[in-house]
Amino acid sequence: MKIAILSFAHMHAHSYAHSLLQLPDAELAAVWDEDAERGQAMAQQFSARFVPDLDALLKEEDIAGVIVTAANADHRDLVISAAQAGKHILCEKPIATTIADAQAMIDAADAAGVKLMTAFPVRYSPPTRRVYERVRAGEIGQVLGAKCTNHGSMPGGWFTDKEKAGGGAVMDHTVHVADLLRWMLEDEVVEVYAEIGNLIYPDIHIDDCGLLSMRFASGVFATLDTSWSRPPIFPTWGDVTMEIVGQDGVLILDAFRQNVEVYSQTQNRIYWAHWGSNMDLGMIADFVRIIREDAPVPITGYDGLKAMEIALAAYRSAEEGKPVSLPLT
Amino acid sequence: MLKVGVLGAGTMGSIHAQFLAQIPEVQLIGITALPASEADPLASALGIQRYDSAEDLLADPKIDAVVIATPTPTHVPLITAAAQAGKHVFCEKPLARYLEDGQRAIESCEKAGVALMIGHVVRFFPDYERIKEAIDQGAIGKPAILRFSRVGPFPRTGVKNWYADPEASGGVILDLMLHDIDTLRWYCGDILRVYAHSLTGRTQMERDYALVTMRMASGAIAHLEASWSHPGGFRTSVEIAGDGGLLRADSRESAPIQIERWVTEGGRGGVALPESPLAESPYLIELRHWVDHILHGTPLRVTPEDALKALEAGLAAMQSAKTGQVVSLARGGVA
Repeated sequence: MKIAILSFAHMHAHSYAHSLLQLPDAELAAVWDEDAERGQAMAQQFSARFVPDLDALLKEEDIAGVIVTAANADHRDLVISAAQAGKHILCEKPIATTIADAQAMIDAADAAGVKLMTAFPVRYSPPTRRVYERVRAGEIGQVLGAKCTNHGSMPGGWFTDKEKAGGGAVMDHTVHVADLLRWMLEDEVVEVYAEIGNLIYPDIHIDDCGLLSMRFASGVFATLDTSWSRPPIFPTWGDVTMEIVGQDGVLILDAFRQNVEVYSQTQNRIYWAHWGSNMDLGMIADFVRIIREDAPVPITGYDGLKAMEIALAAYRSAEEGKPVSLPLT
Repeated sequence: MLKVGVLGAGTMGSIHAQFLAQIPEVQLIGITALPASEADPLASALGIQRYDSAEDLLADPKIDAVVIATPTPTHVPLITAAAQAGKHVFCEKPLARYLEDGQRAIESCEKAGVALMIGHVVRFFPDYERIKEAIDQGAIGKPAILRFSRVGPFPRTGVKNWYADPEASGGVILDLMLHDIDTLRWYCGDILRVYAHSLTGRTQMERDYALVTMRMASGAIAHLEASWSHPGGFRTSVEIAGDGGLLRADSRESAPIQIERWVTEGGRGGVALPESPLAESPYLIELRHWVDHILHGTPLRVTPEDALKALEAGLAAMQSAKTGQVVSLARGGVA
């Protein structure tokens, strides 16, 4: 199955391309990029064709699906064009930067009868999936609350450009855990409160710290720290953690804890070598599978919209200084 | 020489009495408890007098200073009575269950000219002291986002299970989180506003659990967790990210001893217990600090005003959890 990658603006594109190389039943056939130089380099690196003209690429009939890894605000036009060309789509998170854009993308996919999947790879992390199974099996009883983090390092580039990214750390790091909570609890957030600030990197002029409090319809409450609080010296990029408190116990997840600590004198660095399973490979394999089997989309555009809505609500809450009700109006 | 009496012979009263007995400048005179007989084993073990009531102990002219380790609702009446009797006071946290009462207790000590120190013992824990030093030395720059956690079993030992009555104890926020609220202020200064979720009133109090957000006057953001809902044993953690670095401490990660024992009878698994022994207990250091303050005028590391401010923020968190609204401390705070 031929898959194309539309833009390498988001660094996850590299991992998705590697995943496609590893899958026996899929290939990275073509690359398009708004930055032709980058696109050419990436196409060469992954032994794919670089196609400078997006419309030409989308007209290639043997390309079954596309992966959109452009900057957040550029998802909309690429997804709509791909949908209209009849391509199935895996869209990088956050799905967009506004509700209207996300809805337009969903509508375009629906109208064209193509699959639109949101890239929430953490659902494919085996430790995370195990926690999901344990929660759903009722092993900690009724869930009451959760303390979560999705810390990161400051990514720089367009991630700190409000026009392109739609926001800083809160936009970047709310949606993964928001999606995991919606998935595990089978519930929707009805209220968000957030404290947000630009406190670590004064020169980037965008939020690098965020702390969200969410209330679900069932009454479950959860907090999420989205801060880019891992300094460059830290041995890894960040984390996804969840500490879920239930009536009968507590489940504690540190999704990327499967590491070897390396203290390298020769490389003059300390790092954690991750030996856990490759969740990106699991997600890309599933995207290929749902196209091949014409199966339902496991993580829909609507899931992408609802997770992004929580980030947008956080910004509104910080602006208004009070909790904000969802859905946003 | 400071002649000290102890009010309360529960968990904390016993700890304080035993450490007071180790301070050379202290002469431990006696102890009382309700019911009075609870103080008997401790009194005979330490060879000190057992008083029948707090009134009796406070009326004894031999006693210069008292340690109050009784349930929270009795703190203010006992502080006030001790002050009126001219005794210096050390009182377990929280200072009071309500803000005006706490204010009143402070004023009564000021008026009587006696010392008052509230047992915010975390300021005497060496891990928390190292963190304070690292911040003050600029090791992580200006604190930006702080995370505190304090998780442990519900204190079942109290008289009449008083911890389970939020009206009496203030639940997990005033019992556990208050430590970290005080520490947060110690590290970062004043708190501007508070938003909280808790299980208070939604589950049995023995499983109380709270997640609280605070915004500091400095701009920093803080997250605090306190829980009686975790079955895995007591532990604390701190993480502080600043504009120049990050620091992390976790009591379980830093425990130098893990004891794992086979459970032979009827059980498959064993139990693992972490231990972190120190040459001197922080409780002893805390009491010696109080004694030094009274006898030698050493400035208090935690002032009555600090205790009142921590209480104010704790009460704000309880109020926010109840109302779902943000509580601002900028304008006079909460009742």
